[in-house]
Amino acid sequence: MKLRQNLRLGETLYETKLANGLTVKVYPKSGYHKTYAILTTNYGAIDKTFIPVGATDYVTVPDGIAHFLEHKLFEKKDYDAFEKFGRYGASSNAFTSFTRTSYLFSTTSHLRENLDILLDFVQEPYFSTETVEKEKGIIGQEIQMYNDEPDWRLFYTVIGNLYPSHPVRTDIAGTVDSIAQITPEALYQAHATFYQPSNMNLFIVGQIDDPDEVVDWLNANQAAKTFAQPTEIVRSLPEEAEDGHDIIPYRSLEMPITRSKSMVGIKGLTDYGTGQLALETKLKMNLLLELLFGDSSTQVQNLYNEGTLDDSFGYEFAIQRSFNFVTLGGDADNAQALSDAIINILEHATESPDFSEDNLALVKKAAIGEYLQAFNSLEAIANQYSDEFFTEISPFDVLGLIEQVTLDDLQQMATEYFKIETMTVCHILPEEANHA
Amino acid sequence: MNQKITDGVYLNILQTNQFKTIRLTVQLIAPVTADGMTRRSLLASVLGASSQAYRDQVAMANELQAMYGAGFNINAHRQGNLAIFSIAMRIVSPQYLRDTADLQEQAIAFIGQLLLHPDVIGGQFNPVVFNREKDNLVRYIESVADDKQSYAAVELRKLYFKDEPQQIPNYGDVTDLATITPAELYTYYQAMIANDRVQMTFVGNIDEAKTSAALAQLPFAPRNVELPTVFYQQALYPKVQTKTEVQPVQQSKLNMAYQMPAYFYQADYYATMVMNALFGGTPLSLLFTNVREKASLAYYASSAIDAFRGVITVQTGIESQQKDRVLAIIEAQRQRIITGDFEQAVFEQTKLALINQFKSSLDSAAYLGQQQFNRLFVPETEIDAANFTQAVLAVSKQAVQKQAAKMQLQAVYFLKGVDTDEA
Repeated sequence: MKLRQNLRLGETLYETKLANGLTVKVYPKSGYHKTYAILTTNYGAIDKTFIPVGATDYVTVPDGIAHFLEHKLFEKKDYDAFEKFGRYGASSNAFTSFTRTSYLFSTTSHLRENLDILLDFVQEPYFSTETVEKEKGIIGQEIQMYNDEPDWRLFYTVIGNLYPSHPVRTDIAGTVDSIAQITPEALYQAHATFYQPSNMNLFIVGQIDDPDEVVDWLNANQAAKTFAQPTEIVRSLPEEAEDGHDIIPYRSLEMPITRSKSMVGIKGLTDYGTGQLALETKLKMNLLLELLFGDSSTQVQNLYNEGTLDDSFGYEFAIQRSFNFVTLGGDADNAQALSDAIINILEHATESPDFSEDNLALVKKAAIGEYLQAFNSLEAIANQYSDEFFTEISPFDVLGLIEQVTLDDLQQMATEYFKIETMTVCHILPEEANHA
Repeated sequence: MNQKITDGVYLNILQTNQFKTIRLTVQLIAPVTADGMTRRSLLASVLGASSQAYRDQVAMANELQAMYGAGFNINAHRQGNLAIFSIAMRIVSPQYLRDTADLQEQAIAFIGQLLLHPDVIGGQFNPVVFNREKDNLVRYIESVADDKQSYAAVELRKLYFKDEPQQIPNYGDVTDLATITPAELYTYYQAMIANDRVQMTFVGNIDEAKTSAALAQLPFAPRNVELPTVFYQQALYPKVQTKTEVQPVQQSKLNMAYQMPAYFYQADYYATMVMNALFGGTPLSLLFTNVREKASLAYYASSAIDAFRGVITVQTGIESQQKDRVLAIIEAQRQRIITGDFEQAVFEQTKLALINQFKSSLDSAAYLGQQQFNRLFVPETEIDAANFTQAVLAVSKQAVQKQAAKMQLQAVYFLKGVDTDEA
């Protein structure tokens, strides 16, 4: 097993790849009572056009199938995985993002039994017409609930504007209409293609007595199953304009809310991949956004004082396989004034009074502190470091990467990324009728 | 051990190397009142926004960044009969940093700045800051109405509790808020600092010698504090309180309150905890499996205990025409517990889930601090995993049945959605 260590922090990560291609990372935390394990496949909502295992032509499957599959994997012919974890008092969950699907449990006893349950239920699919039909009702409710949430609508309108055809524009859960088309056959096909061990990783963190023993358990579990030879996964994405000219610059909608919402989105036109470059880009962009829009930004403080924005203001940089974008926004009395102010700061990023060496030093200190603090949380460790970014890079390399960022790096980042032609704006306004 | 610093002022240090951080909490405790809830909520915003040393957010943010991304949180909440005003700081444990050996003292000084040196001009809070924070709080309260799940919870609480101090959400009452002035809030603040019980709780790798010296930054005068019992109970109503409201939302919310006279680590507490977990407190519960999963009637359906106020609430998100069916199914699940019509396996699993939850929370510094705090007001509070495990495993099926029978439905709040397409 490969060892990655940080003596100062007193942390060690063990890494190995099993015979069938499954990547395993084991991270003991002394003093902890809980163990958290997360099994992730490199497959998410955007992977809707692909060549299925054993086939030669592309297929395009209904929106929401990755999420649907995630829900359905728990239910088996003769058992429910949720309940099986429950027999040991463990709790389990799963989530689907644009590019990943993860299954997890946390437990304070019977680690081996729980690991077996996790691997077995994820690797042994069972879908029937009856259970698939029933699930459509449950997920349909979930989709409707999100439709009532203004912040969710704001976010999806923004990325819908940025991406006229990339599937990231669609709700991860799909639509009521798209999920109606899902069949057991389509689920089996997606599973066979994307749930190959070579496309997955298992991260185990927390109370672990002996990492080697844990790997022995996993090997024993996998040896009892037969897996097809790993195949290359071929996906396809629709073409979008390289210069971003197909971005929809503005959209507004009305909802039954009391206060308007405003959001600016910026589409990244460069593909940074999923390795070290992507991670460095993420760290730099987060430092840049913190300088310009974080708690220590004088420009944001002025906007706060004059009432243009409030505590709900926030920003996010999303960078995953095949896309990256920034969103910034929040609640506002005047949605237009907030989006104008955000764009103004972005366009003059490097002239900002906040864009200085001194401020960068402070923002980096804070980032270092946050990085260290995250080692308190088993979930944070596993969720962050099971990411594709950390295929080659070690969690303990991040400190060095933060330290080496310079103001020049950020200047370059701002010039490259903050272009008016790659931005969009969405406003959600209160429905007039409701206040009459 | 809880050390007395002076009359009414205490410091409790929990030494542990489990975390990469140190957590420092100072709490001011008083009997809960309706006026107090709103004023303390506003104070949390005002004191967190500026102080004499940090006049604005930028100055404050720069100080926190210089302290390696220290985090602080000020909030006011209610626990039964007590109003608790808290300021908590989280810093990286200095042993992991290259250049900041006195971070712990800096953090204590920072708390002292915020709490004891507020931005006051001529006997009142700086009106510019005050008005801005007040407006923001008003807007926040109004925006809660946009989140229908929270809105339904607030309305249920208003329906169930008769006493205003118990009805008011932790963030306060918007009508009362409008009447508060900078001078009046400052008067309230002075009384709070002078009269409330002060409880400091420090968790982590704490340097005790340096702590003692740094406490000079938190010079609280001696005080005599009389606090009521933490436990509150709403008297029974002769009939169920009901309210229905109609709003243009796709998903309806059905919330219920049951009186459940069993309190935090008092008689029958473990049995009540197991009963609630079986009823709707976990994903294995009857509400989850029968209302959500089996009948596909709801997106969510769960129950929760407020063990300081002796109430169990149920919350669901449903289609509006399913209300009566959902009500009937929820009551049927309670009847199943009363008659013992639940699987032994599920019963055992539920207990294991509670034990798992308890042990897991021992991995959180905030929880360890909260445990210490609870022990001061409820000495029976269990902090030991082995004792907790034993007590949960000892709960019998009969004890759980008995507790379910004691639940009395007292309030039903229904937020009826009208499909916007049909309207």
